[in-house]
Amino acid sequence: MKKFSQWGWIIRGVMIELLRRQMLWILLLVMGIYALISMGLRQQGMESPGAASFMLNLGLYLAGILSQLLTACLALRQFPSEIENRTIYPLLAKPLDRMNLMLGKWMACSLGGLMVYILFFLLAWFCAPAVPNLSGGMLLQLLLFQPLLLAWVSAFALAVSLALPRGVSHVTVVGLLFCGEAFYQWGAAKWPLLYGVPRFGGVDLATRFTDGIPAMSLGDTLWMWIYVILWILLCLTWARGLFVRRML
Amino acid sequence: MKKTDLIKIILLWCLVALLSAKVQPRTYTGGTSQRLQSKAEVKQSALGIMLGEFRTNLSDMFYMQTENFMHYGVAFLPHNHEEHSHTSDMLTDTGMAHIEGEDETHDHDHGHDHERDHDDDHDGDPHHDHEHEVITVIPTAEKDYRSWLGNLHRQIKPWQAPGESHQLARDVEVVPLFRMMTLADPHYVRGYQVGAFWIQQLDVSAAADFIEEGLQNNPHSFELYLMRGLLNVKKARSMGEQGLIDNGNAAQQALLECARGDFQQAAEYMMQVRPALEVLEDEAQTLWSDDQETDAMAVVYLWVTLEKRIGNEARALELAEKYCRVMPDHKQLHVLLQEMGP
Repeated sequence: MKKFSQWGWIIRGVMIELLRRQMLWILLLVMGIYALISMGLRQQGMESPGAASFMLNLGLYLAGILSQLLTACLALRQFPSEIENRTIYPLLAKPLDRMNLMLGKWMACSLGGLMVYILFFLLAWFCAPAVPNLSGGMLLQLLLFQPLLLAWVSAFALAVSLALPRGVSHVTVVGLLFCGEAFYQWGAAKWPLLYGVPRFGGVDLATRFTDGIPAMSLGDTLWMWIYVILWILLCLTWARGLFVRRML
Repeated sequence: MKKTDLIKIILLWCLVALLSAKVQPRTYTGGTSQRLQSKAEVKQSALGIMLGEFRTNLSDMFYMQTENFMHYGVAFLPHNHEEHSHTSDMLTDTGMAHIEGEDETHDHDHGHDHERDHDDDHDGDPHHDHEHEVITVIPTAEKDYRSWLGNLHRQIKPWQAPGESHQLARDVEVVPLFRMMTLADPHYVRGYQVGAFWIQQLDVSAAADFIEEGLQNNPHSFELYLMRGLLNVKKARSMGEQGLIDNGNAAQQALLECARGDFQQAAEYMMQVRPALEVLEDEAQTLWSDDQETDAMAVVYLWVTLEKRIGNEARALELAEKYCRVMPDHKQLHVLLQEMGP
């Protein structure tokens, strides 16, 4: 019970930080511009299903990528800022052990990203023109998978922030967020090491959903969940290894 | 980090790498976004048009960047409008030389729009003089109303007096910009055309691949067929001794045959898109640019010249007569027709 209360405080702190940073508002502005254009087109009467599907896809893509970007930036800032500002000492003196602090930060970043995703998703969903023949099952899969994806982004960013200097870690995480899948598609056949690249874009189900494709089979879904869960475990183990024994 | 943690991380990484191939939610056939009709609808939608404009603007910016790059950052006004339009002049002059078996550093006696020919020999000495004075974006002290501010501007920005001889950067260094502009907009035909011109100076096969890519993305572009024809002629010449065409060389003849097919195809597509004469005579018309007209003239001239070179004199004459009627301002073609005339 005590542990949950400690995590609660960490989550609260991260949420306050999320609201105080400009990034959320900038991303909200981007999404707002999309929503305005989308509503304008809707008012004009977008009759062709191809164009309507394109708009919805754009909205869902933006909702996904912007929330992932926000989650990554939030997670990347956590430990380096705490260590640099020396605020980590009072945190650890609560007493709060390092493992719980790390888990708390991870959950907080994932939750922050998820809340933003829900907001952006609703904006995209209600502003975009109606698209016929979409699969309800696929929508469910998309929505259920999103928290897992954001948890992966958050864990990965936390681990990288502990392993690399601040600037390099930002470039690495944001680069992989946007280009990880492209790297994989481009070179995995030639260089098998690229099978181990984190494919954040590869598990994005928004395009599959807006393309009107039915839900994935149970087997495929399971493989995807296992893949992401293993990545989360890997990142958390990596972050723990770097943080728990780190000299502060 | 503890050894056990490290082992766990390696094991987990191996597992995710193994699983990675299993995770392919995007491998499906069909889907709304893949349908041709949907693509057309998206292209016609307001947002599609806006995004398309953005893509084109991005390519235009890269194109302008090549211009500044070539002149070490000195921005010349007429160049932005003309230089790469001269590329077609350069191409056609070179192409004509290829076909007619002349030296490439020829005297341009083909009369191919001579007033506009200036930077013809970019592939030669990088130091060259402009035949006529060009205007820089930052004006000269005499024409600059900004007084000392203008002087400061000229000092802090790359600048040189328009009349002075100036240097060109190494051509090879602009090639990546052409790659980027065609990636940004695969329908940016000019990027493929001019890019291939620079690439062919280094590697003709690479230029041919670049043009093939352009043709895949723009299958009805007469400019790209023109370029492919020129490259085939260049390849044919590179096979002959001292770059000469030998009528007995089968490989050379086969390439010239390909080039002839390209010019013919280019002429057909050109005629489909070229507006009627009365439209072209209207100076305010925007349907057809000077660059396109230059390329169109080059296409027919090269086709006729090649037919003549291959030995199809009658066909060449027939084509020359036909296109002289279509292009009454095509001086070279008229000269050629007179030479061939009965």
